[in-house]
Amino acid sequence: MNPDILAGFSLAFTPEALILCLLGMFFGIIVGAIPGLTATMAIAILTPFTFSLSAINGLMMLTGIYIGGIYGGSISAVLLNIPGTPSALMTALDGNPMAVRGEAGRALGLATVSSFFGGMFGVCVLLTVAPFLARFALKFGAAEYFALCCFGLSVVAALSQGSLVRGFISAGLGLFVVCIGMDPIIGVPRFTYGSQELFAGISYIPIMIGLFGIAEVLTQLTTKEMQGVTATQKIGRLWPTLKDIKVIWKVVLRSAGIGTFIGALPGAGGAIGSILGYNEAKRISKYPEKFGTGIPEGIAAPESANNSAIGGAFIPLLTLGIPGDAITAILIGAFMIHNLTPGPLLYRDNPEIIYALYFGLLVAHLYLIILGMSCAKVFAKAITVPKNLLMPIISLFCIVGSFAYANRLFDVMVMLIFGVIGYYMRKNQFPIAPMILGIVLGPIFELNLRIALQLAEGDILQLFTRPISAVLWIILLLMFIAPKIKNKSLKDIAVND
Amino acid sequence: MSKVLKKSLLLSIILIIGLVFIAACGNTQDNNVQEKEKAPENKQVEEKKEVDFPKRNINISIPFGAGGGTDQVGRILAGLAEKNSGVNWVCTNDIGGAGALAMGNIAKSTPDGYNLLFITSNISVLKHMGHTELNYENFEPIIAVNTDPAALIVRSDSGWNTLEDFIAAAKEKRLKVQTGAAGGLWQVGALAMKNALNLDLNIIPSGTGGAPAAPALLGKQVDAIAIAPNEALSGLKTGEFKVLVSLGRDRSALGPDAPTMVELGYPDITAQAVRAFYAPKGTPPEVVKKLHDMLKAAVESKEYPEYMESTGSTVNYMNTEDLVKYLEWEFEAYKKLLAFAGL
Repeated sequence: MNPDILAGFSLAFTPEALILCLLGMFFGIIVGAIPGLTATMAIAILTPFTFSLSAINGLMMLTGIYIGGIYGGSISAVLLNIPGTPSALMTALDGNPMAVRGEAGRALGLATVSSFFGGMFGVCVLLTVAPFLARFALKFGAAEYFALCCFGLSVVAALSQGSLVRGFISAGLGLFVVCIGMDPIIGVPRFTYGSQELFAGISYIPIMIGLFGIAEVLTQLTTKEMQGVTATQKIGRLWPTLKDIKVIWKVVLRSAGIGTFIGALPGAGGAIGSILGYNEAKRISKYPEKFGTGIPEGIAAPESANNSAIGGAFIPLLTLGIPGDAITAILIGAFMIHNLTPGPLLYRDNPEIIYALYFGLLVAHLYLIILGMSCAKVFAKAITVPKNLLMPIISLFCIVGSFAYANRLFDVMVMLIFGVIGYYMRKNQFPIAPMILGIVLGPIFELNLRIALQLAEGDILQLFTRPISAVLWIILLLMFIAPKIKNKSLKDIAVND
Repeated sequence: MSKVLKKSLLLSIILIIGLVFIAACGNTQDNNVQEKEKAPENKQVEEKKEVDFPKRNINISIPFGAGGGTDQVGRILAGLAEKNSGVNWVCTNDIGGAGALAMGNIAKSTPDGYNLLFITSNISVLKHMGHTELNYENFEPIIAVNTDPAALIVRSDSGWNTLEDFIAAAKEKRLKVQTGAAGGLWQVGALAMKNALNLDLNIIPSGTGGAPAAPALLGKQVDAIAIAPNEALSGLKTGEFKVLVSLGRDRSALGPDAPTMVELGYPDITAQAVRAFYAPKGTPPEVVKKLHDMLKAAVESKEYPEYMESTGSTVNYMNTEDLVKYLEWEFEAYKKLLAFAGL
């Protein structure tokens, strides 16, 4: 056996490293589950504390937080209909209806198992084809990211249950809101009316917390159920049944593939991965109309995608020294403090660290399934708490979470205002998810379109004629045309008969 | 209908009252300004207290996101200063307006040494851009801890070895140069360099900071990048990238062979970010000195220079006096630079 692999093994499997990783994951799950506190923030704040640890111990702990944080977001999405992190946005769509139906355990179990398999898939890709994939990901320029954002926005159609017009209004509102603040290309204020606070921009975390969290509290307050003292719900069984596994395994694999690739792109991460994973699962499904009502595929697809994006994000970090998302950008600092520069040189100079990190990622995923399942049981009890206690607690978390993001009281106001907007949107059957989609994708959509146009000296055709973006646009077109042709030919057959 | 409607109406009203309340809380900072005006009366008292500063936690406002370069340097220094001061140094990320928001907050806070700002040379740019009314004169500069210059970086396989090669190529074909955030110092420097050299370049900003530019160069999306060399560390260390010219006052540690624009005869083309700590205007000089000494000890520790070296950054200590002199120069220099850049 390669001596470096052995050295890596002995570095990763020390009691301290294993315990630190477990602690990190526990912390990560809790932070991820609290709306507004993101894994990015947890890692940024804890990174300096890991500087006194040895390189691999520190990295193991941070890896634990990273994986736990991404997974933790799904817990509050499922139980409370409030995504704890942006990448758990899509999980709420089917996770919460399932939990409301009295199958909270099943929803959490599905989320955990899908996260585990998705994550493992990402790590396996990292272990095998990382250098190749990283070089390919570099071919993605602004034009290609723009095409990807269009993919993401096309999901609006899938999210607008019932009325497409309402869905587009909702998405348009989201796209408008993120225009407020500083123009990303020429740096001038937009829609700020001289306000310093508006010039600083409206960030999507408080909006998301308001639209989901406060709107949920308001909705609950005005329903009759609230007037009863408790709203006891069954948790149900936790582990997915064989039948569930049979239904989701294909979805998990496909989503993991999408998630890993999106994660490997330096300009896109778990949030976009889970949006695309969900859309693809719905598009291919035999019963797309059931998505959003609480079906296993609707949970498995985004959860598998966002956890597989973790392995994906490590690919450009380790092979090229370029972070794949905001979290790996911070991890660079954790490497550097120990005089390790992520990138091709690390493979040459300190291969044992790379192997130890691989082992760390594998161990962390084992923890995920153990800790995830046992935490899920505890967390699931949250919805058996009487609603007149639960709702004030949620409101508190919403306020703390939106403030903690950037230490701005202004953000708390933004959160409350969007809470009221979200409440009225729900009452009038405007779907909220498209708005969030607009808010999450809007900034990258605009930035990449404008950078691509500037790179092409204003030649719009170049957006579509670069080889990779051409392929992406053809796929996008096919996605729209194919169902119509299929329907038409079916009709033709019927007529001919 | 009525019951539900009444309820939701009531709720909206409660929320609006809540908003007003919060808005009122936001005004406490104005109260602080009033306190500040009263401060001179208390000066004698504060002088006596000087010996036992700091007595409680010191807050550091970092105007950029958690995990970014400024955040990391700030947190490391805060951690080191904590060791020899006996109180906690708490970093918060007050993000917005490229630093204008945090500048506003700290300028308004009580000048007692417990609220500090850690910011880059943006402090000398934002006023010229009209994004804030404030500059270094509204603060008590404490200590400068590091300098990162911008640099023109190209791929090693480009065949360009000197700035002359690059200029020759740029005269044949319009080259694409990606830089940092819109309105940021790197973009300003790149535009000024373009105008000083009389070149026709396509200068493209990045979304956030200079980090996204490195993959664009590696992936051959652009011909060159104008960012801080430590933002393209891996490429420079492997030799895939090289520095053609540094826009700092000194050469870059990651490209020691490349000259500066000043050496090449363009004294007005300097774009470098100096990170420094600031206290609100009116903070007693004894407190500023105490803060300076504690932070100087952190800068001179073993860990700080090690970290800076491993990230490709340069330690550049300036005491309060030198920092003020430097800021006087910088504020005027960036005014000229912005004029050169056409902004």
